Amino acid sequence: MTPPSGEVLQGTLDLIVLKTLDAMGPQHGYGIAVRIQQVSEDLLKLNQGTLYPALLRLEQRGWISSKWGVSENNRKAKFYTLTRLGRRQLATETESWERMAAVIQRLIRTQGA
Amino acid sequence: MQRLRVFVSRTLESFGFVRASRRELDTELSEHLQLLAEENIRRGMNADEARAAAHREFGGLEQTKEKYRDQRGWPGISALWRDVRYGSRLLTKTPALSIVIILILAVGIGSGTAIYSLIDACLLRSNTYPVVDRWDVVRAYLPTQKIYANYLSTPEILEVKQLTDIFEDVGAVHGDGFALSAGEFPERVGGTHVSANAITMTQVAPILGRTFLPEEDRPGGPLVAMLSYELWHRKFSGDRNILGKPIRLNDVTYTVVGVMPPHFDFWGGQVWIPLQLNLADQNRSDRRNWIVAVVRKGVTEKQANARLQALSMQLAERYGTSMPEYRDWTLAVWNINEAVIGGIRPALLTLAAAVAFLVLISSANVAILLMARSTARMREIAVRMALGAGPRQIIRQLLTESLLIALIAAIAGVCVAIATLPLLVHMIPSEWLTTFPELVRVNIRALAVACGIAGTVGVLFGLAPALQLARQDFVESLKEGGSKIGGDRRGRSARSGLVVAEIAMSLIVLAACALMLQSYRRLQGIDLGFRPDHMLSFEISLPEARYASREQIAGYFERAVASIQALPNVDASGVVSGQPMVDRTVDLASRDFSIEGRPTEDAHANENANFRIVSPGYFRTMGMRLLQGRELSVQDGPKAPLTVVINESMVRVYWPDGDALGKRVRLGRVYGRREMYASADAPEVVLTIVGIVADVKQTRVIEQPARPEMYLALAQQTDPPRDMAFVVRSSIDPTQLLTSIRGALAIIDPQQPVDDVNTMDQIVVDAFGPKRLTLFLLSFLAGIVLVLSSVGLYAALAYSVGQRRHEIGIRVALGADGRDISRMVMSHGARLALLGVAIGIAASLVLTRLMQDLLYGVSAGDPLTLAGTALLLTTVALAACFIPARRATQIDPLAALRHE
Repeated sequence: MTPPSGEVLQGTLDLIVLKTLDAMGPQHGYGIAVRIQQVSEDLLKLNQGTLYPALLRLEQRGWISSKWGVSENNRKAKFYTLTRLGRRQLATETESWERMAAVIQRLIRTQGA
Repeated sequence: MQRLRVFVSRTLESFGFVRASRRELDTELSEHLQLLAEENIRRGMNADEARAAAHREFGGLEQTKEKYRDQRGWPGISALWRDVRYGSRLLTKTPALSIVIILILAVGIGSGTAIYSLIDACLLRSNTYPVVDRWDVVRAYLPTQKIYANYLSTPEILEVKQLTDIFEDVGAVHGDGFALSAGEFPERVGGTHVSANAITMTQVAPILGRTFLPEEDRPGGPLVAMLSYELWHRKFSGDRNILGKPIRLNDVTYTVVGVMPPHFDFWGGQVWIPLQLNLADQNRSDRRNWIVAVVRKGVTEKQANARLQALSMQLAERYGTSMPEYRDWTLAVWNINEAVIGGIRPALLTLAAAVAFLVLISSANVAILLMARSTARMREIAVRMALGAGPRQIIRQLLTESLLIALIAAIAGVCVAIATLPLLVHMIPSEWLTTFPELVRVNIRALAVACGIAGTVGVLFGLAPALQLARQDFVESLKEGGSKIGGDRRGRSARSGLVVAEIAMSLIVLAACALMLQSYRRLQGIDLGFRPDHMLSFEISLPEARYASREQIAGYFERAVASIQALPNVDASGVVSGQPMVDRTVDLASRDFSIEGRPTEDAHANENANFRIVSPGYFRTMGMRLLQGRELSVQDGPKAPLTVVINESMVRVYWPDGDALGKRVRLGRVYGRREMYASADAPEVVLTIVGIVADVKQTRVIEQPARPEMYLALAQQTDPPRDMAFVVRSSIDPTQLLTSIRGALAIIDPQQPVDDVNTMDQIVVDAFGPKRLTLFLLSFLAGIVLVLSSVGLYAALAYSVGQRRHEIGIRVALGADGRDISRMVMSHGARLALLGVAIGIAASLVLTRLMQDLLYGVSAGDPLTLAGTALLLTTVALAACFIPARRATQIDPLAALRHE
């Protein structure tokens, strides 16, 4: 049996990032990456670099905004914040994700029985 | 909404409007890596391990950046922008070459456009109304007299007007002049009598008031006038309340009803009044108006003429017996543009061709330079391909570079055009300009064409190396670099071909210019038939209101001539019915005549000669040469036998044996001058030839041979013209006489204005104006062309010497001395130059024939002119070879060989 791949599913990274920002408040890229890894208990294998294009995409859509600030080590870092639009988006996406997950779960169970 | 936001953000990013993004990303990412590494150190790694691990965890740093960048903007545009930046870096790497390429293109585009704009404004488009292409004059050709009759009678106008299937509308006009009394002194202004529809037909609306109403165009209708914008501004200070106000024209009061927009040049008039034609007039021989017509859309000139010919035949059938002129004349349309520019078409074509050659030569130059440059870059391109750049990327890169050059050059060219045009206009005396100087604008179409050609050349020849690469193995070109012995054969032959073509084209332009110069010289040395020095000329137009009778008119001119003659420093003075060298065509006032004692059984035997009405002192004042008999004198008075003096051309044609003196001629119909039509119905007069004078150049068309010409005595005219030109010969500078002349004339009639005052020298200079303008522009073009083609030759040779460094080094190492080397380079250049010159001579033998009409006294294939041009071009070309040849001798063989 192949081990669970742990690759981030296409499209779910957006949701994960939005949720992370929602939970933690303003956060820089590194912080988001660390947080994702902690929460997923390292099950989710995230190439941290891929986070940045995703952040840019979210920002272009207006779901998050960015601002330069000072990191815990007193160096320049860019902090991302969830916008009002993003919060709304998070709600929709969470809902649709839950619905999707439920469907898939039901599907798998039926097949398994 | 969502998409728009993304679109805007990406587009802004694409063009780098959101600046510093690259550096920001770098900072952000390096901070990330730093934090990762610090975390790793905390876990117990050493610094190097920590950093390596951080990079591992992060994944491909460059890929992230690339992906990020692509997502930031639009990948294509971002890449383009990158190419543009890269391209401009390359351009600035070889600044001299880039500047030369751009300058050449800019000069080519700019000066070509400027000259074409000038040609377009001055020569092509003196008339600017929207329907000008369909705006025709209807005139009659009289084959026996070999003249065109422009003036037609009222019944004829109405008959043409009935051809509604070919004409949208038909109107009638005739030019005139008025003494406009506004302000202190009356001033003479050009004016036109127009039928009510004539101005409306141009489809130009007045900016103030209205055009004429049909009821104003009836005999006895209200006296109204329209003003040109220029006159309105000059004389009435642009008074917006001018409508309804009276103006005085020839002592008659007219009411202003409208003002036309600026630059409305209608029949040369500045004021227009209704023609008030009597439509019931049945007199067919009273021809005093021009017919103007707008041809229906889609009707060709041929169709219109066929219809007019049918009408001519009907007229011949119906009236031919009583009116012989109807028997073989043909009515035909004459486009107004053709009428204005017809005579200068050869000049136009020559100039336009020269402009085209200029643009082609500068393009060829740029092609040579671009090819040389890109061949030198073969190696760089090969390296880039070896490093993984695909052919598409390479081609896109090269294309961007070439387009960048073309774009910069086009912008610079526009600047050159905008800068040169006013300079050119400024350099040209205003009387040569056939248009308003402010109407000379950069012609957008010409600019677009020039830029298009330049852009195409840039792209084609910028791409050449890429195409070459596609053909050959790039590893090969990597190995050999750009310095294969002998250089790349294909590139070299292409360059040589271009150089040869350039020199050939230059030769054509230079030859055209030289021919023009030659013929201009001959023209200036031409015998005018009179002595223009120390002469003053001006015009007097007597108003009908104050000068009604024959006695009043003749009396005024006789007294005026006598009182001017009595002034100190005046040697002689006279009057003539038309100033010499002012008219632009040979169709002057002319008259049919028959020779007494010769068979005149058929009206077709009617002969025709130009005629002028002169006072006795005219011949002496002009300095004309009397060949036989005597001049007209005071003894040729109203009661004396009628006499005439004729010119030598008339003798040559009609009395080839030279026995004209004492012969009698019977005068017939008059053509050409409206003010002389009153005598159309006068009884036939018989004149005795008393003198023969040398031919005089009477028109601005100096190169045309003189027509047969008759000089009639003013005193013997039953209906003398009211418009006469005075000529005064003085012993001092003629302009100093003006005050005393004005004083003398004011005593006779203080209200009478004096117009068109000029020295005869100035009139002659003006007559040469259009020719000098052509010559001036052609010389300007020829100069640029000469410089450009030398630069092209120089560039090709210099480049080839650079390419052959290695080979030359070997030759020197094997014992060739400096002279051998320089001879080798020189002979290469000389071969190209001579081949170009030879082809150019062959081509110009064919092409300059097209400008034969423009030439006077020199044939288009004049061997001496061609030889001189060839010599000049060869000399300049060899001089251009000299520098590269010298440079070749200075190549140090050791350095050249080590260079590899």
